[in-house]
Amino acid sequence: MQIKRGFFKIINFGLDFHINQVYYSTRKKIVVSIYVQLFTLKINKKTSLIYNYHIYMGLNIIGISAFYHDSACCILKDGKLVAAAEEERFTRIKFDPSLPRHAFNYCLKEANLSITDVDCIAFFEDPSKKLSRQIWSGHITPDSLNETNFNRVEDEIRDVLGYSGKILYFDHHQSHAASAYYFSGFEEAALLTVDGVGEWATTTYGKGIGGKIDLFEEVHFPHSLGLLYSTLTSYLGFRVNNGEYKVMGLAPYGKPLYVDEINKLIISRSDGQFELNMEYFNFVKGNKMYTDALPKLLGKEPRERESEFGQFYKDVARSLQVVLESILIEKANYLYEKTGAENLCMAGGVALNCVANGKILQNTKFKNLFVQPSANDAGGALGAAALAHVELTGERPEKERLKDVYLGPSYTSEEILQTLKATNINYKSFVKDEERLMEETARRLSKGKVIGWFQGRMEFGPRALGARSILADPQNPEMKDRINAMVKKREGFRPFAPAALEEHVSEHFEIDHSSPFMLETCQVISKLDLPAITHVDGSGRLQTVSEKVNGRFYDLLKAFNKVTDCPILLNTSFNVRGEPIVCTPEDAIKCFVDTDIDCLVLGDIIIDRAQNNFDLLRLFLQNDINRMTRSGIQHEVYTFI
Amino acid sequence: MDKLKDKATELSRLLMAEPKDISAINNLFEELGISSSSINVVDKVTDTKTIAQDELGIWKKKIVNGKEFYQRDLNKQKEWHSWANVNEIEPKSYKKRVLLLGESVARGYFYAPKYSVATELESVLNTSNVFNGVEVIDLSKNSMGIDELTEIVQSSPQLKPDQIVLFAGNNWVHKLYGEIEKEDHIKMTEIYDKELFPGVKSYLEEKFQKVVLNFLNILVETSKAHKIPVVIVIPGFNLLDWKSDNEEKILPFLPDGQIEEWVKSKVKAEEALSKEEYNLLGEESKRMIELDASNPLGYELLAKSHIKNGKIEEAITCLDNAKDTIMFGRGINPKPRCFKIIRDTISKKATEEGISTVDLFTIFNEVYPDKVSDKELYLDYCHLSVEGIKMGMKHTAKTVIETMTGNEIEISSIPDSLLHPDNTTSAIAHFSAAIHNAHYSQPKYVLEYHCQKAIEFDSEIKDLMIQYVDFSCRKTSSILCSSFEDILQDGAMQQYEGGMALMHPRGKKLLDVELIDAIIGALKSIGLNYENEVKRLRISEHGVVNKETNLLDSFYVLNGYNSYNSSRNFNFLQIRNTSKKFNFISSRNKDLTVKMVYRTPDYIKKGNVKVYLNGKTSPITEIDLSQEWNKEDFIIECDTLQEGVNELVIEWPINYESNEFLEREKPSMNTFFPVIGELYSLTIESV
Repeated sequence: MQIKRGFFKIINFGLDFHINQVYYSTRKKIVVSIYVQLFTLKINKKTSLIYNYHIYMGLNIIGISAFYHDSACCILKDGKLVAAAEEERFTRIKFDPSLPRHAFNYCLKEANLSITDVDCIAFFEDPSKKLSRQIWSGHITPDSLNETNFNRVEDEIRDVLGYSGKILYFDHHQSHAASAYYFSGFEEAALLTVDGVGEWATTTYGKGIGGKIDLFEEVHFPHSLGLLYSTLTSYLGFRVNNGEYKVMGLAPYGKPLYVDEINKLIISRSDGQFELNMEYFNFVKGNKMYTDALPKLLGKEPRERESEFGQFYKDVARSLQVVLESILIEKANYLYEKTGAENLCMAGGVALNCVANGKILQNTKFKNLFVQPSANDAGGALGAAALAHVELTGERPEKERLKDVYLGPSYTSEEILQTLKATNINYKSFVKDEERLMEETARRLSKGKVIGWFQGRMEFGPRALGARSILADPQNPEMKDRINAMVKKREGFRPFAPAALEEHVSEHFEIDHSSPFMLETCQVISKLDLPAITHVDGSGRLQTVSEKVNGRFYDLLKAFNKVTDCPILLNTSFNVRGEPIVCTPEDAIKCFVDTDIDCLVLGDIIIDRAQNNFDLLRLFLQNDINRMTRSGIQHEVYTFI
Repeated sequence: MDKLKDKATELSRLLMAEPKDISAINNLFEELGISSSSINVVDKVTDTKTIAQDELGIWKKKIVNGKEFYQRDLNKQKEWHSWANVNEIEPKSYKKRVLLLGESVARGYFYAPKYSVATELESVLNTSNVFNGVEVIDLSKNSMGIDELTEIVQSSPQLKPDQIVLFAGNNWVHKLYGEIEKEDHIKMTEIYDKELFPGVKSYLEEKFQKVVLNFLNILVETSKAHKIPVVIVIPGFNLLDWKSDNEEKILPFLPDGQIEEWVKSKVKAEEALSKEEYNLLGEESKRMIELDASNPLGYELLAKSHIKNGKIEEAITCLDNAKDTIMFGRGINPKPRCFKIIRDTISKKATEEGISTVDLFTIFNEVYPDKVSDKELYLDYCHLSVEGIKMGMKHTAKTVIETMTGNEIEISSIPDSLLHPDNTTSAIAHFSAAIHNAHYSQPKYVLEYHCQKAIEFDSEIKDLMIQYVDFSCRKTSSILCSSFEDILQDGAMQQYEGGMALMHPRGKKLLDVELIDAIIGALKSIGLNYENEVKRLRISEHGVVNKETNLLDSFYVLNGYNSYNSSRNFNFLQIRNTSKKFNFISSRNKDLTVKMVYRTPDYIKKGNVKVYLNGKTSPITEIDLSQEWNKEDFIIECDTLQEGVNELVIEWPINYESNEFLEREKPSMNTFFPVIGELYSLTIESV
């Protein structure tokens, strides 16, 4: 773009202006002197002003979420989401909360930019507000004066990233709301964000119209649906910030026998408000989530971690899910009444409760629902970047709905082959023969093999959606236990999810729209017997796969359908328990070797376990201190600091 | 509630403001009812670990037929490889029982389990025929720190020893580093203002002395309580041939423009060295030490001058000082060593308590009065060669016999042991040493020495060398490489931590340029020319062809595992020396474009950033200083490249205004070691 002198119109402000001098041009930011003629003011004489105005030629905004859990980074290039990734995938530290410098580097590389090209860094929360809540909660004392850097966010962005430009801060829930709304494709929508806690807010209600977001009501800490769920998660013997999803999976095994008791924990108030009964909660100042009053109320001691599940705990999980759904439906109805919008956008950790999401859509007047696929804090990076784009340009960034989340790194066949050639691993290459690759993979799946599937760009967000997935035949009755035993090493009750060809979805699932992000559950109505992906209540957490969104995964499903007349595959994330999802071909090989997955499809390459002996390599990997599983956060209590 | 929130909000604003209004902050804390001790007080876990009486280290007591055995605990199997290879400790017999406690130096690192310090000591003691049988029980462990050593000392009486030999002191530096806290940096900055680095050194030594005395008190207490005599073997150091690396030589803050003077003296000293003008070398290196007592380079250069002038004692003192400069904490992973203050503290305390010591530093200096301890006695910084082990254990045996019999004896009355590692063991020890030295940035002549020794001991080691070359030249993580797997499968490198020491830290794989070249040289000596194969492999794996190569990747930027002891992991490379070297691989068929994004701190006022290629004396480009990140691209013409490894050196000007620098820096590591230049990215691709 060439900057010329002359008249231009600033559309947003309805003003004419004249560029009378281009001062200088550094990087891509052009600073021009603008002679503005204000004709619109009702004054007799023309008012003239000289402004220095920044015109962005290629506006590059980095979004960052960090210092809580799920730290992540994304880049918006002229409003287009070009790349996004969680830091844990690079550092291999699960839930890594540190400043996402590796993800930042990746985003710059993917966007073919340098630090000099970054126009703004948008941070997903307001450190000052967060600090005030931490003070109020008693986490900051006079002792902290010498020990704590209260300006850590800005200091680290400046020092660690070496960034000296503009930093914009947005509220945590504003970032969540923006992450859902600006990527929903809706021109107008009601906004509901629900999580543990951000700064003060734990739940917000709002409306988005065009480029603007208005959050008109908040529920404040310590009253939090997320923390209610996390508290019961802890009581049920799971790790906080990690086990909430398991509670949702456990719920269908129970009966809602403790709804009355759990209703004593939370009191719904008028409008969008609710309160936790703090007699039962200890998370504000304690080092565990609940007080002794909670076990007394429920009549049983908390479940020991890793112990057997008695029916009681399953019933508690079910009761909790029922209470959560009930209050979410009530508040969503309130939001509908308040906004009159037909579309609903949701984000925040609680929005990952896909069972509740489905109930909201069924039990409110909302016609359409969009849940941000990275509804957790990682997604806050997207929202912050989008808000910065709006602030800097006055325009909303994306107008179209987010079509996929394949926003992470990818690796060429050449790179994969270079890695494999260095190893003792026997493999078959299908470079430039995609059809055979699909046939061979489908054939293995049809024979009951479990496949590690590593293709294209890594997913952003907590779900594996066919880029870093473990796949298997959902018709095999033993498959769930097999995968749990061979790789996931997780609780047997947890369901695996189905991925299905979009054009065949209605034959097998009770759903009338696409579900590309695996954020909804629906009933399995297939004539096929699908035990590996059907939950105890007959539901499945579906991913619909279209050719447009993930061509290679689509082709595999087609090939599998051709062999088996089943257009569905079991799809679970490619990782072992306690480790982040694999990122690089090396991560995938290590995970494959260290588990009992039958086959690894690495780009155009197939590696069969049967054709290899990994005993020795597995021994090395198990002794590799670089690979010891680590978590970046604590799990006894929610990460408030 | 809302009022409290308002106050919390106001307090958060005050806490984030600079400078802080402490009085207003304290008032608000008071109004909020928050005091230091009122909340969140978690009881500190008191550090009183009970000493188990049925286990020590990885061994657990087991009673068989009424007799006490100690067997390796299966629950600790993951730790077994770090400890001495002792499966079972049998019940005490008629033999005198000597326990050997200590760190890797006591294991006989690079030789164990094929040959060890414990077996050598046992052999000497038995050959001496003073006792009716002696058993030396090896309880040594790689990387044993002072806390773990304390535990093992306290649990050792359960084995009913007649004597404890403690061979340790290198790894104590880790505990010492852990003692340095934020307040110490503030204190050290104050001391530095008045007394410069010698004052800081005294402060640190005082702190370190306390840690050492604390341990020694426990040792003495245990010895007295159980009436078990103790001999302490104080480790020595490879003074001549273990060189400080670039991280250990980074430039410190010096007042009043003295840093420029130091750099000038360094240049003159190095010129004098190359011209063999040793008196001038002595003068300039003395000036370097006067200006900066924290930098090992001055001492190392002065030692060269002393050695050339036949002043061995002075050279040893210089190199002992050089060795101790890691105390100033430049590197995050310097190799451990026994500081002079540790040595002196042990000696003094031992004399007071009547404990015998074997000080290898002193003994080697006395035994070899005409030379400085070197690579013939040490395979790396502290781990002894066979010659070193034999010499050390002979003196230890003498002291053990004296302690147990109460009679003084002559060293000449101690016979040599008949124990010797076989040639293959020695070859592998030297090859492992070459790798270890290379990974800690030791000079090429040392790598060549060990590679050559390895080949001389056993030419069959060539196969191992070729396997090493293969996985080292590849981009893939070593652990996945077939050649790595083959080496470990054969068990040939068992002496090098079971072969696992061949693994690189995550994201720190090196190109190993000098080591591979040293291996090529050694292979050539037995008629194997591997040069072209290495060149081919390097080009195919790392060659700058059509794809951009990131020269900040570990392969190209690192020449060892040590790095600056930064409190933060920065997203860019910080340079604290006047120059920084990068390697890249070229097939020499196209011009290359180098793209760099760099900046220089605003306290660097003048000069240019200069870029050199392949040791040429004139720069290929000169770049202006820039306080903001700045992009700079330049071309390297094809005919200036070498086929294979090329070396790009970026030289940074140094002339910072001392006061201006100090005004902006808070007391921290950076106060002592300022940044001179920063690189955000440095890539190279073919045009």
